[in-house]
Amino acid sequence: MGQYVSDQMKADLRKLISEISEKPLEEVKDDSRFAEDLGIDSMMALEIVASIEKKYKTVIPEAEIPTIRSLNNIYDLLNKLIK
Amino acid sequence: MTASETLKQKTIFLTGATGLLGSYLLKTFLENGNKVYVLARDKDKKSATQRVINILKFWSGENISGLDKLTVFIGDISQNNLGLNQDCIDLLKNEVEEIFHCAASIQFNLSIDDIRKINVEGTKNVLELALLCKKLNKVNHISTAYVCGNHKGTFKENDLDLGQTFSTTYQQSKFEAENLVHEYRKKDLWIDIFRPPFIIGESSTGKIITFHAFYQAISLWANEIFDAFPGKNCYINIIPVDILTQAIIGIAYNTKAKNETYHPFPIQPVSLNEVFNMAHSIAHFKTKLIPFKDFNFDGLTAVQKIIIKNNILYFNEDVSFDSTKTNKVLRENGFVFSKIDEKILLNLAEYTINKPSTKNIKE
Repeated sequence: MGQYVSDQMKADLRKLISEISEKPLEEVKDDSRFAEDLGIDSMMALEIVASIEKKYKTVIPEAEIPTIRSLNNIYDLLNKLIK
Repeated sequence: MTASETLKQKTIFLTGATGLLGSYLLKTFLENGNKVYVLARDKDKKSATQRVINILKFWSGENISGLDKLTVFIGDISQNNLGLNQDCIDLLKNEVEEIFHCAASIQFNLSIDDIRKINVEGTKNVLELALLCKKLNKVNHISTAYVCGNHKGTFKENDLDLGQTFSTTYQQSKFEAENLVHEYRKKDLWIDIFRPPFIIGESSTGKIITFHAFYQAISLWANEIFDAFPGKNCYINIIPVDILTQAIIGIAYNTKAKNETYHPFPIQPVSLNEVFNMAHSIAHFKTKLIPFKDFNFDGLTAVQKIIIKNNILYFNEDVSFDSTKTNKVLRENGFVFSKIDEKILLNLAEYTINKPSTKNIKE
Protein backbone atom coordinates (compact mmCIF):
# COMPACT_ATOMS: atom_id res chain seq x y z
CA MET A 1 0.00 0.00 0.00
CA GLY A 2 1.42 3.40 -0.98
CA GLN A 3 1.71 6.32 1.44
CA TYR A 4 -0.38 9.06 -0.11
CA VAL A 5 -1.19 10.94 3.08
CA SER A 6 1.38 13.71 3.36
CA ASP A 7 2.40 15.52 6.54
CA GLN A 8 0.39 18.53 5.36
CA MET A 9 -2.70 16.34 4.91
CA LYS A 10 -2.17 14.92 8.38
CA ALA A 11 -1.98 18.44 9.82
CA ASP A 12 -5.16 19.46 7.95
CA LEU A 13 -6.99 16.36 9.16
CA ARG A 14 -5.96 16.97 12.77
CA LYS A 15 -7.31 20.52 12.48
CA LEU A 16 -10.59 19.21 11.06
CA ILE A 17 -11.00 16.74 13.94
CA SER A 18 -10.14 19.46 16.44
CA GLU A 19 -12.78 21.79 14.96
CA ILE A 20 -15.56 19.22 14.80
CA SER A 21 -14.82 17.69 18.21
CA GLU A 22 -14.29 21.16 19.74
CA LYS A 23 -11.14 19.82 21.38
CA PRO A 24 -7.85 21.77 21.41
CA LEU A 25 -5.45 20.76 18.64
CA GLU A 26 -2.85 19.52 21.13
CA GLU A 27 -5.33 16.94 22.46
CA VAL A 28 -5.89 15.46 19.01
CA LYS A 29 -3.26 12.75 18.50
CA ASP A 30 -2.96 10.25 15.68
CA ASP A 31 -4.04 7.46 17.99
CA SER A 32 -6.68 9.35 20.03
CA ARG A 33 -9.87 7.29 20.01
CA PHE A 34 -12.66 9.45 18.61
CA ALA A 35 -15.43 8.35 20.94
CA GLU A 36 -13.53 7.54 24.12
CA ASP A 37 -10.78 10.19 24.07
CA LEU A 38 -12.29 13.05 22.07
CA GLY A 39 -16.00 12.71 22.87
CA ILE A 40 -16.90 12.48 19.18
CA ASP A 41 -20.46 11.19 18.83
CA SER A 42 -21.88 9.37 15.84
CA MET A 43 -23.20 12.51 14.13
CA MET A 44 -19.87 14.30 14.53
CA ALA A 45 -18.16 11.24 13.08
CA LEU A 46 -20.42 11.41 10.04
CA GLU A 47 -19.61 15.10 9.61
CA ILE A 48 -15.91 14.21 9.71
CA VAL A 49 -16.36 11.54 7.04
CA ALA A 50 -18.42 13.86 4.81
CA SER A 51 -15.84 16.64 5.21
CA ILE A 52 -13.03 14.26 4.19
CA GLU A 53 -14.98 13.18 1.11
CA LYS A 54 -15.48 16.80 0.12
CA LYS A 55 -11.93 17.90 0.86
CA TYR A 56 -10.18 15.04 -0.90
CA LYS A 57 -12.81 14.48 -3.60
CA THR A 58 -13.22 10.84 -2.68
CA VAL A 59 -16.11 8.58 -1.76
CA ILE A 60 -15.84 6.52 1.41
CA PRO A 61 -17.68 3.21 1.07
CA GLU A 62 -20.46 2.63 3.61
CA ALA A 63 -18.73 -0.49 4.96
CA GLU A 64 -15.65 1.60 5.88
CA ILE A 65 -17.57 4.24 7.87
CA PRO A 66 -17.71 2.24 11.15
CA THR A 67 -13.97 1.47 10.92
CA ILE A 68 -13.06 5.15 11.28
CA ARG A 69 -12.27 5.46 14.96
CA SER A 70 -9.05 7.44 15.00
CA LEU A 71 -6.85 9.64 12.81
CA ASN A 72 -4.64 6.61 12.12
CA ASN A 73 -7.70 4.83 10.70
CA ILE A 74 -8.32 7.83 8.43
CA TYR A 75 -4.73 7.87 7.17
CA ASP A 76 -4.91 4.13 6.39
CA LEU A 77 -8.23 4.52 4.63
CA LEU A 78 -7.07 7.46 2.52
CA ASN A 79 -3.88 5.60 1.61
CA LYS A 80 -6.12 2.80 0.38
CA LEU A 81 -8.64 5.03 -1.45
CA ILE A 82 -6.50 7.77 -3.01
CA LYS A 83 -4.36 6.09 -5.60
CA MET B 1 -49.06 34.55 48.63
CA THR B 2 -49.27 33.89 44.88
CA ALA B 3 -48.77 30.47 43.35
CA SER B 4 -45.37 31.44 41.95
CA GLU B 5 -44.18 32.72 45.33
CA THR B 6 -45.21 29.40 46.83
CA LEU B 7 -43.20 27.41 44.30
CA LYS B 8 -40.16 29.60 44.81
CA GLN B 9 -39.90 28.14 48.29
CA LYS B 10 -40.15 24.60 47.09
CA THR B 11 -37.32 22.09 47.13
CA ILE B 12 -36.59 20.73 43.69
CA PHE B 13 -34.93 17.55 42.45
CA LEU B 14 -33.53 17.96 38.92
CA THR B 15 -32.06 15.35 36.58
CA GLY B 16 -30.08 16.25 33.47
CA ALA B 17 -28.45 19.27 35.11
CA THR B 18 -25.49 19.21 32.73
CA GLY B 19 -27.68 19.15 29.62
CA LEU B 20 -28.93 22.16 27.69
CA LEU B 21 -32.39 22.61 29.16
CA GLY B 22 -31.55 21.10 32.55
CA SER B 23 -28.66 23.49 33.10
CA TYR B 24 -30.74 26.53 32.13
CA LEU B 25 -33.55 25.42 34.43
CA LEU B 26 -31.00 24.95 37.22
CA LYS B 27 -29.58 28.43 36.68
CA THR B 28 -33.10 29.87 36.85
CA PHE B 29 -34.17 27.86 39.91
CA LEU B 30 -31.09 29.04 41.79
CA GLU B 31 -31.73 32.65 40.74
CA ASN B 32 -35.30 32.26 41.96
CA GLY B 33 -34.13 31.05 45.36
CA ASN B 34 -35.17 27.40 45.14
CA LYS B 35 -33.29 24.76 47.08
CA VAL B 36 -32.17 22.31 44.41
CA TYR B 37 -30.83 18.75 44.49
CA VAL B 38 -29.36 17.62 41.20
CA LEU B 39 -28.24 14.26 39.91
CA ALA B 40 -25.13 14.20 37.75
CA ARG B 41 -22.48 11.74 36.67
CA ASP B 42 -18.71 11.95 36.97
CA LYS B 43 -17.54 12.05 33.35
CA ASP B 44 -14.37 12.59 31.34
CA LYS B 45 -12.24 12.74 34.50
CA LYS B 46 -14.42 15.52 35.89
CA SER B 47 -16.49 15.23 39.02
CA ALA B 48 -20.25 15.60 38.83
CA THR B 49 -20.02 18.76 40.93
CA GLN B 50 -17.34 20.31 38.73
CA ARG B 51 -19.41 19.58 35.61
CA VAL B 52 -22.46 21.26 37.12
CA ILE B 53 -20.46 24.29 38.28
CA ASN B 54 -18.73 24.59 34.89
CA ILE B 55 -22.00 24.72 33.05
CA LEU B 56 -23.47 27.26 35.46
CA LYS B 57 -20.37 29.40 34.85
CA PHE B 58 -20.88 29.00 31.10
CA TRP B 59 -24.32 30.61 31.40
CA SER B 60 -23.71 33.08 34.22
CA GLY B 61 -19.98 33.84 34.38
CA GLU B 62 -18.25 33.77 37.74
CA ASN B 63 -21.20 35.16 39.68
CA ILE B 64 -23.51 32.19 40.03
CA SER B 65 -26.61 32.90 42.08
CA GLY B 66 -27.86 30.64 44.83
CA LEU B 67 -24.94 28.19 44.93
CA ASP B 68 -25.45 27.74 48.68
CA LYS B 69 -28.83 26.16 47.89
CA LEU B 70 -27.42 23.61 45.44
CA THR B 71 -26.53 20.02 46.31
CA VAL B 72 -25.04 17.74 43.64
CA PHE B 73 -25.53 13.98 44.04
CA ILE B 74 -23.32 11.67 42.03
CA GLY B 75 -25.64 9.21 40.39
CA ASP B 76 -27.01 7.80 37.18
CA ILE B 77 -30.67 7.61 36.16
CA SER B 78 -30.14 4.30 34.41
CA GLN B 79 -29.27 2.56 37.68
CA ASN B 80 -31.57 1.27 40.38
CA ASN B 81 -32.27 3.98 42.96
CA LEU B 82 -30.52 6.32 40.48
CA GLY B 83 -27.20 4.96 41.74
CA LEU B 84 -27.75 6.74 45.08
CA ASN B 85 -27.11 5.36 48.55
CA GLN B 86 -29.88 5.05 51.10
CA ASP B 87 -28.94 8.27 52.92
CA CYS B 88 -29.35 10.30 49.73
CA ILE B 89 -32.62 8.55 48.91
CA ASP B 90 -33.93 9.26 52.42
CA LEU B 91 -32.99 12.92 52.12
CA LEU B 92 -34.79 13.26 48.79
CA LYS B 93 -37.74 11.26 50.08
CA ASN B 94 -38.21 13.64 53.00
CA GLU B 95 -37.51 16.94 51.28
CA VAL B 96 -38.35 16.98 47.57
CA GLU B 97 -41.53 18.79 46.57
CA GLU B 98 -41.10 19.14 42.84
CA ILE B 99 -39.19 16.95 40.34
CA PHE B 100 -37.95 18.08 36.93
CA HIS B 101 -36.81 15.10 34.91
CA CYS B 102 -34.67 16.39 32.03
CA ALA B 103 -32.02 13.67 31.79
CA ALA B 104 -32.08 11.79 28.50
CA SER B 105 -29.83 10.61 25.74
CA ILE B 106 -30.44 12.70 22.64
CA GLN B 107 -28.26 10.54 20.39
CA PHE B 108 -30.27 9.44 17.38
CA ASN B 109 -28.70 6.15 16.55
CA LEU B 110 -27.92 4.30 19.74
CA SER B 111 -29.31 0.78 19.73
CA ILE B 112 -32.87 0.65 21.05
CA ASP B 113 -31.68 -1.41 24.06
CA ASP B 114 -28.99 1.11 24.98
CA ILE B 115 -31.20 4.17 24.65
CA ARG B 116 -34.10 2.48 26.50
CA LYS B 117 -31.83 2.03 29.53
CA ILE B 118 -31.45 5.80 29.76
CA ASN B 119 -34.68 7.24 28.41
CA VAL B 120 -37.23 4.63 29.51
CA GLU B 121 -35.64 2.77 32.45
CA GLY B 122 -34.18 6.08 33.61
CA THR B 123 -37.65 7.64 33.64
CA LYS B 124 -38.97 4.61 35.53
CA ASN B 125 -36.24 5.00 38.16
CA VAL B 126 -37.08 8.69 38.62
CA LEU B 127 -40.80 7.94 38.89
CA GLU B 128 -40.10 5.17 41.44
CA LEU B 129 -38.29 7.76 43.55
CA ALA B 130 -41.23 10.12 43.06
CA LEU B 131 -43.56 7.51 44.56
CA LEU B 132 -41.46 7.58 47.74
CA CYS B 133 -41.36 11.37 48.14
CA LYS B 134 -43.57 12.35 51.04
CA LYS B 135 -43.98 16.03 50.20
CA LEU B 136 -44.11 15.71 46.41
CA ASN B 137 -46.38 18.09 44.52
CA LYS B 138 -45.68 16.92 40.97
CA VAL B 139 -43.20 15.57 38.47
CA ASN B 140 -42.40 17.63 35.37
CA HIS B 141 -41.30 15.19 32.68
CA ILE B 142 -39.37 16.67 29.76
CA SER B 143 -40.23 14.82 26.60
CA THR B 144 -39.95 15.96 22.99
CA ALA B 145 -42.34 17.05 20.27
CA TYR B 146 -40.74 14.36 18.12
CA VAL B 147 -42.68 11.61 19.87
CA CYS B 148 -44.93 12.34 16.88
CA GLY B 149 -42.58 10.10 14.85
CA ASN B 150 -43.58 9.95 11.21
CA HIS B 151 -47.16 11.06 11.86
CA LYS B 152 -48.65 13.05 9.04
CA GLY B 153 -50.98 15.92 9.93
CA THR B 154 -51.59 17.83 13.12
CA PHE B 155 -50.12 16.56 16.38
CA LYS B 156 -51.84 17.99 19.44
CA GLU B 157 -50.88 18.16 23.09
CA ASN B 158 -53.26 15.35 24.00
CA ASP B 159 -52.14 13.10 21.14
CA LEU B 160 -49.62 10.36 21.74
CA ASP B 161 -50.18 7.01 20.06
CA LEU B 162 -51.59 7.73 16.62
CA GLY B 163 -50.05 4.61 15.09
CA GLN B 164 -46.88 6.50 14.11
CA THR B 165 -43.60 4.80 13.31
CA PHE B 166 -40.16 6.16 14.22
CA SER B 167 -37.07 6.83 12.16
CA THR B 168 -34.78 7.09 15.19
CA THR B 169 -34.44 5.11 18.40
CA TYR B 170 -34.39 8.46 20.21
CA GLN B 171 -37.97 9.24 19.16
CA GLN B 172 -39.13 5.73 19.94
CA SER B 173 -37.58 5.74 23.41
CA LYS B 174 -39.11 9.12 24.30
CA PHE B 175 -42.50 7.84 23.06
CA GLU B 176 -42.13 4.76 25.27
CA ALA B 177 -41.17 6.99 28.22
CA GLU B 178 -44.40 8.96 27.77
CA ASN B 179 -46.39 5.74 27.79
CA LEU B 180 -44.66 4.87 31.04
CA VAL B 181 -45.65 8.27 32.46
CA HIS B 182 -49.28 7.42 31.71
CA GLU B 183 -48.87 4.20 33.73
CA TYR B 184 -47.44 6.08 36.70
CA ARG B 185 -50.20 8.67 36.57
CA LYS B 186 -52.50 5.80 37.51
CA LYS B 187 -50.42 5.32 40.67
CA ASP B 188 -51.66 8.67 41.92
CA LEU B 189 -48.64 10.68 40.82
CA TRP B 190 -49.21 14.11 39.28
CA ILE B 191 -46.96 14.15 36.22
CA ASP B 192 -47.04 16.91 33.63
CA ILE B 193 -45.30 16.36 30.31
CA PHE B 194 -43.48 19.09 28.40
CA ARG B 195 -42.65 18.45 24.75
CA PRO B 196 -40.13 20.98 23.43
CA PRO B 197 -39.35 20.99 19.73
CA PHE B 198 -35.71 21.53 18.73
CA ILE B 199 -34.06 23.67 21.43
CA ILE B 200 -31.68 26.39 20.26
CA GLY B 201 -29.28 28.61 22.20
CA GLU B 202 -29.98 31.57 24.45
CA SER B 203 -32.01 34.17 22.55
CA SER B 204 -29.92 37.22 23.45
CA THR B 205 -26.48 35.67 22.84
CA GLY B 206 -26.97 32.54 20.72
CA LYS B 207 -24.95 30.62 23.34
CA ILE B 208 -25.34 26.84 23.15
CA ILE B 209 -23.38 23.99 24.73
CA THR B 210 -23.31 21.44 21.90
CA PHE B 211 -23.85 21.73 18.19
CA HIS B 212 -26.20 18.86 17.43
CA ALA B 213 -28.68 18.09 14.67
CA PHE B 214 -30.16 21.39 13.53
CA TYR B 215 -26.87 23.10 14.36
CA GLN B 216 -25.09 20.46 12.37
CA ALA B 217 -27.17 21.46 9.35
CA ILE B 218 -25.89 25.03 9.65
CA SER B 219 -22.34 23.73 9.97
CA LEU B 220 -22.83 21.50 6.91
CA TRP B 221 -24.00 24.53 4.89
CA ALA B 222 -21.11 26.66 6.10
CA ASN B 223 -18.58 23.96 5.22
CA GLU B 224 -20.22 23.37 1.81
CA ILE B 225 -20.49 19.62 2.42
CA PHE B 226 -23.54 19.54 0.15
CA ASP B 227 -24.00 21.45 -3.08
CA ALA B 228 -27.71 21.52 -2.36
CA PHE B 229 -29.58 20.87 0.88
CA PRO B 230 -33.27 19.95 1.14
CA GLY B 231 -35.78 22.05 3.08
CA LYS B 232 -36.60 25.16 1.07
CA ASN B 233 -40.03 26.54 1.99
CA CYS B 234 -40.20 24.21 5.01
CA TYR B 235 -41.12 25.39 8.46
CA ILE B 236 -39.53 24.20 11.69
CA ASN B 237 -40.42 24.55 15.33
CA ILE B 238 -37.50 25.83 17.35
CA ILE B 239 -37.35 27.48 20.74
CA PRO B 240 -34.48 29.29 22.47
CA VAL B 241 -33.51 27.61 25.74
CA ASP B 242 -34.16 30.72 27.87
CA ILE B 243 -37.65 31.28 26.48
CA LEU B 244 -38.45 27.58 26.87
CA THR B 245 -37.28 27.73 30.49
CA GLN B 246 -39.55 30.71 31.16
CA ALA B 247 -42.50 28.88 29.59
CA ILE B 248 -41.94 25.63 31.51
CA ILE B 249 -41.46 27.45 34.79
CA GLY B 250 -44.44 29.69 33.97
CA ILE B 251 -46.63 26.61 33.80
CA ALA B 252 -44.93 24.51 36.49
CA TYR B 253 -45.01 27.33 39.05
CA ASN B 254 -48.66 28.20 38.46
CA THR B 255 -50.67 25.28 37.15
CA LYS B 256 -53.42 23.60 39.08
CA ALA B 257 -54.54 21.32 36.24
CA LYS B 258 -53.16 17.83 36.83
CA ASN B 259 -51.55 15.38 34.41
CA GLU B 260 -51.44 17.68 31.42
CA THR B 261 -49.18 17.58 28.38
CA TYR B 262 -47.79 20.83 27.02
CA HIS B 263 -46.23 22.00 23.75
CA PRO B 264 -44.15 24.91 25.08
CA PHE B 265 -43.42 26.78 21.86
CA PRO B 266 -45.01 29.48 19.70
CA ILE B 267 -47.97 28.57 17.49
CA GLN B 268 -46.14 29.81 14.39
CA PRO B 269 -43.09 27.82 13.27
CA VAL B 270 -40.02 29.45 11.74
CA SER B 271 -39.24 29.41 8.04
CA LEU B 272 -36.12 27.39 7.27
CA ASN B 273 -35.44 29.85 4.43
CA GLU B 274 -35.05 32.57 7.04
CA VAL B 275 -32.56 30.52 9.08
CA PHE B 276 -30.66 29.64 5.91
CA ASN B 277 -30.52 33.26 4.76
CA MET B 278 -29.21 34.42 8.14
CA ALA B 279 -26.46 31.78 8.07
CA HIS B 280 -25.67 32.71 4.48
CA SER B 281 -25.37 36.39 5.35
CA ILE B 282 -22.56 35.46 7.76
CA ALA B 283 -20.71 32.64 6.03
CA HIS B 284 -21.46 33.32 2.32
CA PHE B 285 -21.37 29.61 1.45
CA LYS B 286 -22.17 28.15 -1.94
CA THR B 287 -24.63 25.51 -0.71
CA LYS B 288 -28.16 26.12 -2.02
CA LEU B 289 -31.37 25.38 -0.14
CA ILE B 290 -33.77 23.55 -2.44
CA PRO B 291 -37.26 22.04 -2.07
CA PHE B 292 -37.43 18.38 -1.04
CA LYS B 293 -39.05 17.46 -4.34
CA ASP B 294 -36.01 18.72 -6.27
CA PHE B 295 -33.47 17.01 -4.02
CA ASN B 296 -31.54 14.17 -5.65
CA PHE B 297 -31.16 11.70 -2.80
CA ASP B 298 -29.78 8.99 -5.10
CA GLY B 299 -26.85 11.20 -6.09
CA LEU B 300 -25.47 11.31 -2.55
CA THR B 301 -22.59 9.32 -1.11
CA ALA B 302 -23.39 6.77 1.62
CA VAL B 303 -22.36 9.10 4.42
CA GLN B 304 -24.30 12.04 2.98
CA LYS B 305 -27.41 9.85 2.88
CA ILE B 306 -27.00 8.91 6.55
CA ILE B 307 -26.55 12.57 7.48
CA ILE B 308 -29.67 13.68 5.64
CA LYS B 309 -31.72 10.81 7.05
CA ASN B 310 -30.71 11.84 10.54
CA ASN B 311 -31.49 15.48 9.99
CA ILE B 312 -34.63 15.19 8.00
CA LEU B 313 -36.96 14.88 10.95
CA TYR B 314 -36.41 18.50 11.82
CA PHE B 315 -37.61 19.57 8.44
CA ASN B 316 -40.52 17.13 8.29
CA GLU B 317 -43.15 18.80 6.18
CA ASP B 318 -45.79 16.24 7.04
CA VAL B 319 -46.45 17.15 10.64
CA SER B 320 -47.62 20.37 12.22
CA PHE B 321 -47.59 20.75 15.96
CA ASP B 322 -50.57 22.30 17.66
CA SER B 323 -49.55 24.32 20.72
CA THR B 324 -52.82 26.24 21.12
CA LYS B 325 -53.66 24.83 24.55
CA THR B 326 -50.22 25.57 25.99
CA ASN B 327 -50.22 29.10 24.58
CA LYS B 328 -53.64 29.69 26.16
CA VAL B 329 -52.50 28.42 29.57
CA LEU B 330 -49.40 30.61 29.37
CA ARG B 331 -51.41 33.68 28.35
CA GLU B 332 -53.66 33.19 31.39
CA ASN B 333 -50.49 33.36 33.47
CA GLY B 334 -49.32 36.52 31.76
CA PHE B 335 -46.74 34.90 29.47
CA VAL B 336 -46.67 35.33 25.71
CA PHE B 337 -43.90 33.83 23.55
CA SER B 338 -41.68 36.46 22.02
CA LYS B 339 -41.36 36.08 18.27
CA ILE B 340 -38.33 34.14 17.06
CA ASP B 341 -37.22 37.10 15.02
CA GLU B 342 -34.27 37.95 12.78
CA LYS B 343 -32.16 39.05 15.72
CA ILE B 344 -32.49 35.67 17.46
CA LEU B 345 -31.80 33.78 14.23
CA LEU B 346 -28.79 35.96 13.56
CA ASN B 347 -27.41 35.24 17.04
CA LEU B 348 -27.96 31.53 16.46
CA ALA B 349 -26.25 31.51 13.06
CA GLU B 350 -23.36 33.71 14.21
CA TYR B 351 -22.65 31.59 17.28
CA THR B 352 -22.81 28.37 15.27
CA ILE B 353 -20.56 29.52 12.49
CA ASN B 354 -18.01 31.17 14.73
CA LYS B 355 -18.23 28.25 17.19
CA PRO B 356 -16.75 29.94 20.24
CA SER B 357 -14.93 27.43 22.35
CA THR B 358 -17.07 25.45 24.74
CA LYS B 359 -13.83 24.20 26.26
CA ASN B 360 -14.64 25.55 29.70
CA ILE B 361 -17.67 23.27 30.08
CA LYS B 362 -15.88 20.26 28.67
CA GLU B 363 -12.84 20.43 30.89
